[in-house]
Amino acid sequence: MNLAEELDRAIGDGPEHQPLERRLTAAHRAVRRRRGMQIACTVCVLAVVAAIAPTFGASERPGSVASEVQAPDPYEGIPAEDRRTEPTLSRDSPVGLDLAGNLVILRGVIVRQTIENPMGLAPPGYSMGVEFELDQQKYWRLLHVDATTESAVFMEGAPREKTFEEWVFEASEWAKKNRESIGE
Amino acid sequence: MTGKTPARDAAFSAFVLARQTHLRRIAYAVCGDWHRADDLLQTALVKAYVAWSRIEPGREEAYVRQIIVRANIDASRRPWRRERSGLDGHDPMARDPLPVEERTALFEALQALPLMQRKVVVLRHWLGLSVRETAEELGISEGTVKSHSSRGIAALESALAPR
Repeated sequence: MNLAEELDRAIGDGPEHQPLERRLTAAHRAVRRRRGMQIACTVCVLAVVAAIAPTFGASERPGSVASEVQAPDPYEGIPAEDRRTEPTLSRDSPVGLDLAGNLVILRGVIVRQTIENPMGLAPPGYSMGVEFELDQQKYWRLLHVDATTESAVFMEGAPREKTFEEWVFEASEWAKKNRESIGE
Repeated sequence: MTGKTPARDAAFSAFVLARQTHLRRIAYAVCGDWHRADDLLQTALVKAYVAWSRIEPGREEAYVRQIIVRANIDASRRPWRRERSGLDGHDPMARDPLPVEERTALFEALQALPLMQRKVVVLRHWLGLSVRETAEELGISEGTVKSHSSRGIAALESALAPR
């Protein structure tokens, strides 16, 4: 068989495209976001440092109020059968996040660096950017989970035109948009 | 917006109108879902627009295609019921999958391949890229392309062989 022709027939053209104006609007928004990104990142870092510094201090005090308050059950109201289970690792999914949000890896994976919760998800949600190697091949993953699902945005190889941090930031933006678009 | 925006908008619009069908088919071949394919294409087009002035003229399609084949939501790890319930009420015309009978055995076999094999088969055997071009596009070695290619084709032939 002529595989190219058969594939061409099998794939089809799909539904109608979204209007060109919508694509342009999204593109213009991305340009504006990119321009504001650098300033926003600086402001965010300063704000996070200012916010967590006193929190760490308080939690270390013995008998503090914070240590006596019970956190609400993040799975409340979600049927047991719908809750996320521990990740199943495989060659296609060699890294994952366990129920506690810890990184778990397939044997042979070498983790080079991670970025904790770049999507800023609240518990039981969590996200992690992971750069790792498997069989001498480099991979980037953005893992993100919530009470019921686990997902990943992934990149085979490391593109020369951007850094791991830049990619994780872009992937986080994309993943957040995708979560919103499917109603999560 | 800068003074360059109208020219960039015009060039980008012409490119989108001319190539979006082809590019979305590539995304669909990779991910097997028209809704995700459209998301993939939209993300890739937005990135291309942002980088438009840095893209070598004539390389726009390769730029977008590379983003599409290198990044993809790992749909296989999402519980199906969550995914389906999340789509309810959102633009059903655009999101409904094609009827099962329209998805051929070849397409099903392609989707059953491991992701990297599928990408290699799409680039090498559907789009006709060379081993070197495929390796560059996917950011992997030529040897890896060859092994994925031979395994992918063997799996397709096995799946399609008369029983």
